[in-house]
Formats: sequence, C-alpha cells, structure tokens
Amino acid sequence: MDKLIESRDTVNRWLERFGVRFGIYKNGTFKEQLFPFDSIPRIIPAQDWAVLEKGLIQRVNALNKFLFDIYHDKNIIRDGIVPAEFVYSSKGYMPECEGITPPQQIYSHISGIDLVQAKDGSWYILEDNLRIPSGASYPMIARTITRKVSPETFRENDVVDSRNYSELLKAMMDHVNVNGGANVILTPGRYNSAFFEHSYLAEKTGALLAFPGDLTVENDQVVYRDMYNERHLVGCIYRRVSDEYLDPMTFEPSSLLGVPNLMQVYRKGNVALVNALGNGVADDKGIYYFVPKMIEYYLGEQPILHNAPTYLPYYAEDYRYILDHLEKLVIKDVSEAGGYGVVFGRDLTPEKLAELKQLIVDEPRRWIAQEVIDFKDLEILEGSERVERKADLRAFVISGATTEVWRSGLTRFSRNPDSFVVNSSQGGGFKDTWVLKN
Amino acid sequence: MTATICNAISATKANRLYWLGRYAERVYLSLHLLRKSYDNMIDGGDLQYLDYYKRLDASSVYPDKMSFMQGFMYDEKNPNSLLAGMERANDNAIVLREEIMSETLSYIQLSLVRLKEAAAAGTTNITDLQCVTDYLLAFWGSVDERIFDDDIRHLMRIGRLVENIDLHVRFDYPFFRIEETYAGLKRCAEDMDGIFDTMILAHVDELLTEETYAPDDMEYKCMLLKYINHLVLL
Repeated sequence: MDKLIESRDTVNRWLERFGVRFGIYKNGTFKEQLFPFDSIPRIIPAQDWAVLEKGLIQRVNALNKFLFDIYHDKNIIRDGIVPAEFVYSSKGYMPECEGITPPQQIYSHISGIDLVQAKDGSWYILEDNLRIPSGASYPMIARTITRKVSPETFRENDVVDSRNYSELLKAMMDHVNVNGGANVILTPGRYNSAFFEHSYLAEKTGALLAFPGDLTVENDQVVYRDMYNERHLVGCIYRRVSDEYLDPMTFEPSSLLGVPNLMQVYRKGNVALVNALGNGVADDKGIYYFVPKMIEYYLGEQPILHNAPTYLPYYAEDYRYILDHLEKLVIKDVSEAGGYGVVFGRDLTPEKLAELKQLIVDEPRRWIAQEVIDFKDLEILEGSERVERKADLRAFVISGATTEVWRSGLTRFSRNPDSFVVNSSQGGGFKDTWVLKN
Repeated sequence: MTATICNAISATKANRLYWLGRYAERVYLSLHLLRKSYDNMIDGGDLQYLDYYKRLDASSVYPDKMSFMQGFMYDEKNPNSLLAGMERANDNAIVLREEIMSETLSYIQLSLVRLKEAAAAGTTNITDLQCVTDYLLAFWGSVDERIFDDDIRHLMRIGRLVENIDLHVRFDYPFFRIEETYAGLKRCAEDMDGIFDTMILAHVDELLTEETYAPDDMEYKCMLLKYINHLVLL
C-alpha cells in the first residue's frame, strides 16, 4: 500500500485533470475548489461491513415504510410512536405529497447515511440524508484512478471492487422507470456545488443530463426536447433540484430551476422522481431520534445500528438534561445542514452558553442535543507526515428491486486538528473506503 | 422498465458543442498566430503588434510590446487572449461531460491548468505553452476516437471549421487554405438538416471562389466574416 500512499499527489493531479471539483459560495462569489484526496484508505474488514450492511438496509427499509405511512395512513402517529407535531412542523413535510404513491412505492432510492466509528470500534449513525445525498462520485472516480496509479496495491490487498455504483444507479432507475422513456438527471446547472457529480453520474449511467428548460410537460407526460424540436418521453428523473424548486406551479413560484406542472405528472404516476418528493420529513434531525423506534414499529426488529445518544428538548426529562449539561453536549439546529448550525457546548463562553440556553427555551422543537462521540481518528498525510484527524463515513444505500449498500462510501475528514466538522464546504478532504473481501 | 437509450441533444447543448469547437480552435490557432507574431517582432519594429490588434478588430489597450505579449496570453479581460479563450472553452466543455466524456474533457482542463500556471509564473516565452497546443491536438483526437455520436462530432467540428475560416480570413491566408476548410465545413453539415442559413450559405458560396477571394479588400473581408459568423443556425 506504500506505493499508493506515496502517490497522493499523482492521484490529486489526475482528479484535477478530470475536473473533479465542488462549488462553494463565499461572500456571494462562486468558486470551484478541488476536493483534496488523501491516499491512506479507510479499511473496513468484511465482518464489520456485514454488520453495517445489514443495519443500513434495515434502517433504510424502515425509513421508506415511514415515508409511505406519513403520506398515507399515519399509523405511526396514531399509535403514539412519533408525535404529530414533529411530523407536521418539519420543514421537510410536504402536504402536497399526501396520498401520492411513488412508482414501486419507493421514496428514498438513494440514501446517504452518515456514520462515525467510536474509539471502541462501534458505529453510530449521525444522520440520514434522504433528499439529495451527494458525494458518491468522488470515491467512484478516485477508485478508478488509484487502481491505475497503483495496480499492485489492489493486487496485493483483497479489496472489493467498488466501481459498480453507476450500475446500481442505472438498475434502480430502470426499476422505477414508469414507461420505458429516457432516464434523466436534472441538474440546477454548473453553479450548483455538486455539478461535477451530476455530470459524472450522467456520463457513467448513460442518462441524459437535463438543465432547467430542457424538460417540459405535455399531455401529462414529461418530455425532453432536442435541437430538432422532437420530443423524447421521460420515464425517470433523478433530480438534483430541491423539492421546493422542482415545480413552480406547485411550490416556489419564482423558481426557474424546475419543470412547470411536474407535480401533476408525478401525481398521475407518469414519471418517477428519484428521490421522491417530501422525503425531508424523514431526515429531519428531530425525526432522527425516532428512527430506532420506527425499525421496531415497522419491521418488528431490534435496530442493528445505533443513533448517537440524542436528547430532544421536546421531552421534559431531556429538556432538563440538556439545560443542565449543555457544556458537554453538541447542539444541532434541525433546520440546518452541511455542517452548519452545529455547536459544541464546550467551545462556548459562559455568555454564549446562556444565549444558547435561552434559544432552546424559546424554541425547543428547533434543537436536538447529542453526546459528543469520541470518533476514532483516521490517519491522513499532512505534507509527508502522518497525522490523525476526525473522519466520518457516508454510506450509500440504493433502493430499487432490492435494497443494496454500495460497498464503498465517502470517507470525509477534517483537515483542522481541532475540528469535528468534516464537510467539504468547510475545508475537509476525502479518502477512499475499502471494504475487504475476507 | 428499462429506459430507452436516448442520445437526444437539446438546442442549448448543440450551441455549447458548437462554441466549444470554436473556442478550442481559437486558442489553438491563436497560439500559432502569436508565435508567428512574436517571431516577427524579434526583427521588426516595436509597433508591429498593432497589426495583430487590427486584424482582430481589437482596440489598442496595451501600451508596448511586452504588455501586448502578456495581454494576449493571459489577460482574462481581453476576449482575444489565450487564457480568456480557454476559460470560455472550459465553460462549455464542463457542462458537456456526458456528451464528450471525461477523457476528452480532460484535455481542456489540462490546457486551462497549464495556462493558469504560466500566467501565475508570468512567462512570456510562448514555447512554454507548446503543451497547450499538444493538449488541444489530443483533444480533437479524443473527439474522433471516443465520441460515436455523429451529431456531437459534427457540431463541434462545425464550430472548429467556422473559427478556422474566420481567423484565416482575418490573417489573409491564401485561398487554398480557406477552400479546403470550407469544403470540410459543408461536408459536416450534410447530415445535419437545417444547420446552415441557406441564404447566407449562397452568399458565402459566391464570395469564396478563387476568382472572388480578396482578403486585401476590407469591404469584402468584412462581408465574408459577417456571413461566416452568421452561417450556423444555433
């Protein structure tokens, strides 16, 4: 593996050559940055992966059942497992989706589940991303490059070949495609932070990459117009546009990113949307607390993977605990994402702690609190020296004819020695994730 | 249900393919023309570079030979500079990855990275940019090697040939150079119904004959350039 580790700069040059970047807005200006690759892989032994795989499939199956239930019979609310206010006050709950059954009854086709490994080796789920989870393309292309740069590393190590993500994606899109029309990836455009991923996945799955304005609704079908003004029927849209911008006739009227009247077609079952609309209700940081209960409720099983110990100020007992132990907890604003709205109590001055307490008192539904998990640090190369940094893992679960976990994932790490925040938008890098065969 | 394989190209993508071809060719030919111009300046007077401005309809923004050399290589605000042309080629290529494939795109990326590095180093020795010429040749090789869709290849090549004619006319290249390119342009368009404005095509046909070709005549040159630049309907 030494040869691979020494090749970090070579791999990064290849990534640059292929335009592997992510966009970021700073002070109102768009910039494209390279996503720094670290060549020391995260290695997951086969037996550990087997547990992770089982647990992730279990979790995503339960979340899919929850979404169907919430937009149909709401048994989980009626049976008192999830309080109604957590569902209806969630920003991700969309009344417009009530009663709609997506093709094949799948809501979260691509689930990005963020995990961390504690120092004792146990894995904890940090959050579920069920709307538009991004990041799979980076380890995808990195693996293709590292196999070229250091073939001996892969000959000598029993690593599962993870270059099948696009095949999993295509098979899933074909499975939910309603009419045999084209599979399309709908991007907001070049200035979206994940545009590289949109274009790379289109290339690798053979889907059409559609920009705003390329898709229109005609006779209750979605069509793609070509340069000769011929119409091509669309059967599945892997949309990388947020729910609220997807159809200006139903949601945000000023949106230029969506497809007018798309909801009408979707409601009639004439197009599949990947992921389904309204999934935000299930990946809300407040709802996260209830996922283990969902697993028991819908599947009659004990959760295989555990949440990080979480407290909801909504419950009186948790409320008191949070206010009494704020300085040792991590507090998360449920309406934020991308590493924003995350505050470590230990980093706050007494004045700031008091301010935060007041915010929790004023709006208890807006916050969750978690014990700080002492992540297992991973080695990265800092110059030529090996140093340890915090890292997480985003596992990708694909739900099509079956629910499958991609045998790799995005391992992100913090480059700042004092930080637990690993998001690329905040300066983090990424590693390949090796799952061993034996 | 298995999706239909769909190779449709939207009007916007067609436009981008055309402009990718134009900008890639603009940088490639500009490198060649600048090399020639710099070579002429070795022996010629300090004001020789003004001729270069004139041919590109550019106003004189650089006060001397050295700033001209820097400006036409790296000034991002100068639309005729190598760097500005490469940025525009990249703007089009980066949104066409799934059409041209990552490998083809990589040659545009490599060219841009090299130009930016050279700009940061401030080098005015144009031989340092030979690799950009090589990358652009590899880019067109990759287009032929890896892109199987005729429409995609034709659209890019149409852009390339229009730009080639435009620059060769501006720099008074002999008729036989233009004639061959123009014939190639028309061959590309044979399978693309409606890609040319037929009235403009008839005008260009009249202007581009051995007898009528007169690049020394400014009125003729302006008319030919105008028609060539309005020939493609995208």
